[in-house]
Amino acid sequence: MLEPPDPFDEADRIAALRALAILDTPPEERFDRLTRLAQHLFGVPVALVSLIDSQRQWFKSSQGLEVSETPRNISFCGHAILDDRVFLIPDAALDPRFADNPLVSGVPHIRFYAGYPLTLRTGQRAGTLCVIDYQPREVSAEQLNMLRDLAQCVSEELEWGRQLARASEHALFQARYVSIIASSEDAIISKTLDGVITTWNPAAVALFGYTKQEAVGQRMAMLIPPGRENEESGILARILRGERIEHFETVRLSKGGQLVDVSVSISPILDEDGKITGTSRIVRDITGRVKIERMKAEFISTVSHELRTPLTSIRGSLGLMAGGVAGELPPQAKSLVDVAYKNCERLILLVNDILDMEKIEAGKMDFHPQTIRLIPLLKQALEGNMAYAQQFGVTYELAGDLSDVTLFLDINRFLQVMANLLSNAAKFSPAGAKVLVAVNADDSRVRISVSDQGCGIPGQFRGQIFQKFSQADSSDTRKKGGTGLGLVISRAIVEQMGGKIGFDSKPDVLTVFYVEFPLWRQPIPAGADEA
Amino acid sequence: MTEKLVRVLYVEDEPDIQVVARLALEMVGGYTLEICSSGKDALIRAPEFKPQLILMDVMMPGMDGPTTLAHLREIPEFATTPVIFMTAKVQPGEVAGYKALGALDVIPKPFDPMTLSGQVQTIWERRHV
Repeated sequence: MLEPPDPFDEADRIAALRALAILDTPPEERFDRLTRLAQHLFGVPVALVSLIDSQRQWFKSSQGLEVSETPRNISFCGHAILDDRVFLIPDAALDPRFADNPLVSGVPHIRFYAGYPLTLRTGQRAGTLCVIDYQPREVSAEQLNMLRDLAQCVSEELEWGRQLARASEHALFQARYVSIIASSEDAIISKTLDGVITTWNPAAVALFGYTKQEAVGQRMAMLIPPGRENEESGILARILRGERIEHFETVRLSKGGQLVDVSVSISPILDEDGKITGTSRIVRDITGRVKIERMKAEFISTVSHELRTPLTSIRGSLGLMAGGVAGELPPQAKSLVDVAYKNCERLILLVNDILDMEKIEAGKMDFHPQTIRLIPLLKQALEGNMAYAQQFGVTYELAGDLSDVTLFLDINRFLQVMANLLSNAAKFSPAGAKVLVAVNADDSRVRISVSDQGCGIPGQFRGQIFQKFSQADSSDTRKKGGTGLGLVISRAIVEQMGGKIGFDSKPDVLTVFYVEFPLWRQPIPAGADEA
Repeated sequence: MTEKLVRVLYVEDEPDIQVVARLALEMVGGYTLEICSSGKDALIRAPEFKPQLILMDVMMPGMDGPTTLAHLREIPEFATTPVIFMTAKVQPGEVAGYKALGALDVIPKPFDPMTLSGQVQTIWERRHV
């Protein structure tokens, strides 16, 4: 017996066969009717569409056989695909290649075989259309021609199946996109380079009020409010430069003439050659968000005003009394006025902290940096907080006199940060303790550290210390005062001024908070110290 | 040398703040102070009082500070009189906005009554620089 050898293009052939995605699929009438025709044409019991896989032949269509596949090494079809002519064996028992083939010498005792290769458009032969009989046969040239024609029909069906599969995949893909676009909550619109609207999804209808019929074919310009006409040409220029535009916030005009706050993302539409033929845009309605932002800003502004107005009267009255403007107070009254004045100051600080926080979050905190000598400024900070520290029986000490260190800072913001660090250190220190303020500099940076021997930062709290309204022990808020915003604000300020804030804490031993700033190199003119 | 500041007109609708400001500016600062409770009141009384400097609240019922300032500027005598806004409504961008309206400066509320007159004096002396 001669086993069929591999064709010269076996690897390509197997790849092409697999690409048809037809192996092991259910029988199909479009193949079965062709095998029935072949069966009748030759008057034989068996007709097959046999596809030659690497180890087997598998029957896509089979008339007269119970099995769906047989081994390739004993197949007739394995020989038939070696050539593009008919493979004809009138009597296998007389053919030395097949006489001892188990399919010939044993059941089902094949005698006659005629098979035409199924040639794909790319040239490979996927298998055969073949007819088989259990007795020897002679066939006419005419019959063989018809078998060839039928084989070509089978080949076309094989290819057609692939196209069909692709088309349905494409249709599925498209259907998926159509449904995504249709169900999108954001308006999705496309237009040509001339500004003519080409697609308009249901969300666009809801956002702008124009129906699809009213919008498609119209110019995009109808959505642009007066005064923003130039926006589109600017956008187009950027798109043509190859940029993508994301979350561009602007205002558009609805059918009813209302202005709508929108965020627009725009990408180019390319043709097959990669040329830009238009743009597609996703338009999100941000009216709600913009309104909330506006309300929030208004609310903060109003609260700030409403709180400050009574605070102005209270602080003013107490300040004048404490200052003796209304006459000398008896000692007990003086101490009560001092308590009231101190707490009023605290309330003002709280309002200021909340406003600062809001400014930081809105990215609107103003800075007015200038060159400044550090040591005099630090002395000022210490003096300003001395009275506060005295309440806790704590004193400040400045170590290291690097009097020539110059920084580029917003003085008031720096004092705000120092006040926060100094007051924290004082209020968490044991009575009678010293808070040490040290200055160290290297070639490029200066570090100002504030050390105390207080209760420190518990391990589990270290990760949250720069978060809003965080205090390690919530009962501290009452005991120690403060808003829980100080360090958050300090960090934002320090970072805005190009610095760094951090800490290191061994509870009850030493806790160090530090800020670092880059050194300022240019000399400052004489006499500019006391800015 | 700049002329000595004596006559100050303060426009403020809040009576409690008026009390505090009177003590702070008269007793501490030594100025001659006239207080008006509304923008309208200020427009009527200003020509007679002839202030050298006007302090003005921003948020007032009826006519607010900026509107009062605009009307005041229409009176030839007060076309250039320095005006300082005193306001609790100091939000980012607003100080610049007030200055753009022609205010000399802005003093935020709550002000410190013991240093208020000093602040006013500083702004007054700086105005010609």
